[in-house]
Amino acid sequence: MEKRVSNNDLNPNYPTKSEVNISASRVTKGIASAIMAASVTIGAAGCGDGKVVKALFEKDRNPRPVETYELAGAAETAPTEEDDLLLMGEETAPTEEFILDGDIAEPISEDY
Amino acid sequence: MRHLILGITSNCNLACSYCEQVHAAKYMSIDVMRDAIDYFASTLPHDTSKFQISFYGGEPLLAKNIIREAVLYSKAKFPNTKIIYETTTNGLLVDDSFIEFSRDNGLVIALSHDGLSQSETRGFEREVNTVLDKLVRNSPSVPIMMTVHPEFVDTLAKSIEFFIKHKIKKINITPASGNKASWDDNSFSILKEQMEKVTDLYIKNNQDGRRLKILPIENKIKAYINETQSVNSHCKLCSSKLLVNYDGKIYPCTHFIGLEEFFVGDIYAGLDYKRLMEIESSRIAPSECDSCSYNKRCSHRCACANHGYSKSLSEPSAFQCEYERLLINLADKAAEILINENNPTFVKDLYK
Repeated sequence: MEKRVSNNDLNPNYPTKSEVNISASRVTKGIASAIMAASVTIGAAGCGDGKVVKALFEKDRNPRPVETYELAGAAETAPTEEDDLLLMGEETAPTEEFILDGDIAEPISEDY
Repeated sequence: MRHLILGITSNCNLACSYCEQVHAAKYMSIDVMRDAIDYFASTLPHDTSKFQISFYGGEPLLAKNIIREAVLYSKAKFPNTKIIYETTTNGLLVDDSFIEFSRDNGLVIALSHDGLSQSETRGFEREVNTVLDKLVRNSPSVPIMMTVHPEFVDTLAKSIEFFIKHKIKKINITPASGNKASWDDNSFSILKEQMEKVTDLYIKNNQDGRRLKILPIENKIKAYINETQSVNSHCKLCSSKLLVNYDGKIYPCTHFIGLEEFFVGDIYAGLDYKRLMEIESSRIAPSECDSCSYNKRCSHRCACANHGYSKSLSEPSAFQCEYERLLINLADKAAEILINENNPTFVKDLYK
């Protein structure tokens, strides 16, 4: 096989967490979900107490909070122990960076 | 460091066709195990509330007594800390008593299983399938660690269907690397075709409300959503992981275990930072990666993956380049479909 370099634009059509979570600036950090419609994206970002902010953002991904509401079953979204697990041999992409003793370390889970 | 990996034995009761580990009847003693945990404890920040201990081999269940003792010792030593325990086994020594121990102590048992090629690559298909069902009955989230050899890559998608039929929800797929697995254009094109089918299964199962996790795909989606994988966020050897072999020697990662050129200290003298820095400084990403559009989402900074496929710490092989490109494209395809459909479980899981 021969090595090659790609030049095509990668433009995934789904939001990153920070794009969705901007709408959570009025609440605390926490779960977030995103709903993508034909021309607009509606995101919902929430916090541990079940309050969420519903946000509307256009394709330029510049969200603004539009309304708040209770999220049913918020507790179900709490991270489980399974989510913390790092499997040996799993060539996993770093999911989060964290600072450890002044050093940038690799993560062992989303929770760090 | 928040992840301790104990290489409790280099012995194994299987001879997998692609395995390059040198097996010998060497076992970690209880004293070394305790000293390793003590050394690991000395490296933890004071506010550590959670960490992971993994048991690695060879076949770790050949040293079940060390696993049991390590769990009991660490629980007693850290009564107020959440400890996640994990081991990956070939399944042959899993019995009811060990399953009960794992259930009582929160030990996750991941099963190495090669799906439909199990009989050719690992053997003991019938016995391991019995264990597979037993483990699923014990824990519905038992992870499967599957290795795909180029010779049997055409059975990959059918293997995933097999696991789904057996109610498995979490599957890692690793293309075999090393001298016993040679990927070429032909085998890669079959892998591509098979991974496309696997992605369709991933999408379909999640659409049907079954939260199937195909880890190579899902990790790419997660990394994009979390914006955490960039050219600057490569693994840093020994920074969060401590791997202690049966003899107390420290290595940077499971891939390097027992390889003397990657020996970086021991639990008595501590980490050899000079040697570690020498290894780190030899890792220079290839300049051609800078101009590749996949650069920021590619895992070409993973030293052990590079070493496995190209024998270089910093140079990914042509196969890795193609495979990373494939995974990123398939991950985006799956995520776009599932998020556009507002798949509730998938979206909640990925954006929590």
